Amino acid sequence: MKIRLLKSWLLAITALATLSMQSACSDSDQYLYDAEETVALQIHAEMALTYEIDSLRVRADTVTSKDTLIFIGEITPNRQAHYREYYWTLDGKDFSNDMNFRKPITKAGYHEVCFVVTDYFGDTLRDTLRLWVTNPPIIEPHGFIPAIGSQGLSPKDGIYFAWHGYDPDSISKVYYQFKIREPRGLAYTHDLHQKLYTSSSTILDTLIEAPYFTYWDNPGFYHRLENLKFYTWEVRAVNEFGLESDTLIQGEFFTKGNRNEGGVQTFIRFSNESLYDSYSRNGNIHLDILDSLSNLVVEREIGLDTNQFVVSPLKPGKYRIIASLPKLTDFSPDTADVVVLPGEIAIADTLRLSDTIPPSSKYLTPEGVLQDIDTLDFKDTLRFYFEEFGGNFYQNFFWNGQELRGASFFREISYNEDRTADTVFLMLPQSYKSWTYQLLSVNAYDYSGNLNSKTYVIRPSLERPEPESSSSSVESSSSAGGKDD
Amino acid sequence: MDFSIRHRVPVFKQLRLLPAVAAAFLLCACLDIPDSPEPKNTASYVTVYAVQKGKADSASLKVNPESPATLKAEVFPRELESELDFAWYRDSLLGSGATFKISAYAEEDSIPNKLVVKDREGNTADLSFEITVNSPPTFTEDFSPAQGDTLYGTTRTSFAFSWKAEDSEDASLDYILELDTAHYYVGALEKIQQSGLQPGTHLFRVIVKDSEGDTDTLPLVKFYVADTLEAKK
Repeated sequence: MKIRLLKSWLLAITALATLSMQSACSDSDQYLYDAEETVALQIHAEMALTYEIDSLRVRADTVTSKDTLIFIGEITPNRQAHYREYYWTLDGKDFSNDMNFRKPITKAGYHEVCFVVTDYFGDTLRDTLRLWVTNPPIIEPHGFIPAIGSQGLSPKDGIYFAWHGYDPDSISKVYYQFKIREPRGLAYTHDLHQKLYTSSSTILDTLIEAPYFTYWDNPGFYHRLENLKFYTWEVRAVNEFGLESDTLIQGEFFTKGNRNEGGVQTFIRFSNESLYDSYSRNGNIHLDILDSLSNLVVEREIGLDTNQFVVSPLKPGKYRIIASLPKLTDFSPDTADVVVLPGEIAIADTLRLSDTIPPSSKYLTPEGVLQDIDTLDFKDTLRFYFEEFGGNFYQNFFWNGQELRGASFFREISYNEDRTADTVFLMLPQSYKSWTYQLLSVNAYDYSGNLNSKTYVIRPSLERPEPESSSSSVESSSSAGGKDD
Repeated sequence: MDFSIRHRVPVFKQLRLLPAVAAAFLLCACLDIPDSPEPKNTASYVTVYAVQKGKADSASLKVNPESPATLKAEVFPRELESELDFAWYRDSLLGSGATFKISAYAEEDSIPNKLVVKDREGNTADLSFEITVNSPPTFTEDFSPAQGDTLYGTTRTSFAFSWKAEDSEDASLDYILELDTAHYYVGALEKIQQSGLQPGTHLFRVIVKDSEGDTDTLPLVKFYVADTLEAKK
């Protein structure tokens, strides 16, 4: 009986223990609302253009329809906070169910992107981003007034400019940046149809609301359009958000002269394009304009930074233009014949000044005597003297066909005052000494592409070694071949 | 009324009750028959538009003051028009009927801006609108080059083109210049100079548009370009 009673007690105790353990495991307290344990949720929305850490994150912006935006939602204290759902809306309609996502907004206009979070208690939190989507304004690069190269436009009577520009979205105002310039140079590009005027002086630079403009001469203007001159004009469209048109209009025109007056526009090209930016040591372009009786009518010196210029006024008639580079005697002059009509500026054929003479090179003896010889003795230092009268030039040296590079070979490269001549000191290492003949090639290029190449034969500088055996009596070939180490 | 059948009632008694039950059902069915529907007489919408010189555009609320015009009220479905009364207002009652005549050069006060529609039961509906009175622009005879003119110069010569249009309301007008097959948007300019004309015959025309979208077109002008500079004036 006692045993039975004991068994009953044991069973009861075991059951009680099991029950208490189960209740401990279920931990049902955590499902009960405890106001003290709750943390208020906070949400934050941002947008960016890139995923980079340092990318600018904003809450309001103006973007184009081509931009892909990254929308970033944040829930604090952390994502494991108690919330039911989150989603994004665009102008009140479903946009995304992701926390962070990348999407473009292509419809132009004002938009509100809202990050919506519903918390555990059913409260809704919102954070709104604001953005304008706009496309760059359009400006038609063709079909404008005046056409390229229009002659005889009078500043006093008004010069009328008109073009076609608009906002493709019809939501923002379009402005036009209008410029008139007087060009000095012309940068030639690989695309023959594209002209890029350089070194311009600006006559007018203004922002206007309408796609047309009239220039009226005013004596009060600081910069004025002059008669019988060449000018360029350009227009770019800008919308009120600051977006610029992808294209721009570039036009050219000539102003009118008095009756029975005309002018000449001349373009000059050098075979050495680097002359445009060279120092004044290369002198100026000398221009002579002769009338039909070969009388000198105009004589001018023009800087090398100007490869386009207008000479006016000239009386109508036939003229010959001669351009030369007096200081660069390698360049041969060029001429162009032109007929000047009343009230117009005649466009002469491009004058091409070419240098076809390569640089000269001579050996300079230690005594300072120039020698035009072919064979030299091996010396620690060989001196060569170069002359060029067509601008910059450069040299290459080859020892048995292998180019010599680096400062260890050259020393004291000296120039004369006009930089028309260089003296190059070539240092030859002792290891270059050989009992065979060696070849030293000296190339001199000018910037017009002319080459002077001369090969010197260097005499053996070591005693010929004795043959090791009488059977090896074959002489090595005289001088050509690779470097003798 | 209790239609339940008790189990304790003998079968022959139940059979005797059947006619009565059927009659009751029939009566009930008769009670549920609805009245025949009356024809629908609700106007879905009413609209107003202007008719001028026989041209009717159901979306037009624009009249040219230089000629009389008629405002027309239109109700859908149209058969209801005879059952409705129309009253035209501008501050005060100006007229009644489905149409309202606007005389040429009418004062603004005499042009209605509200239509009140009333049915036979006295229900009313208002429709507010604004009639735009706009004179279309017209070109003057002052244009250059004139028909058949010859211009002398080269393809680089800038030839002057000028024109003028008048509009009683608009301070600024927009022009589009047609030169042969090319179109040039010239804004408010009434004169331009253009080059690039080859020797030969050319056509020139200008279209003007005011802010209300009314337009006028200059008749096509045929002119000639001759490359004889000696004859240049």
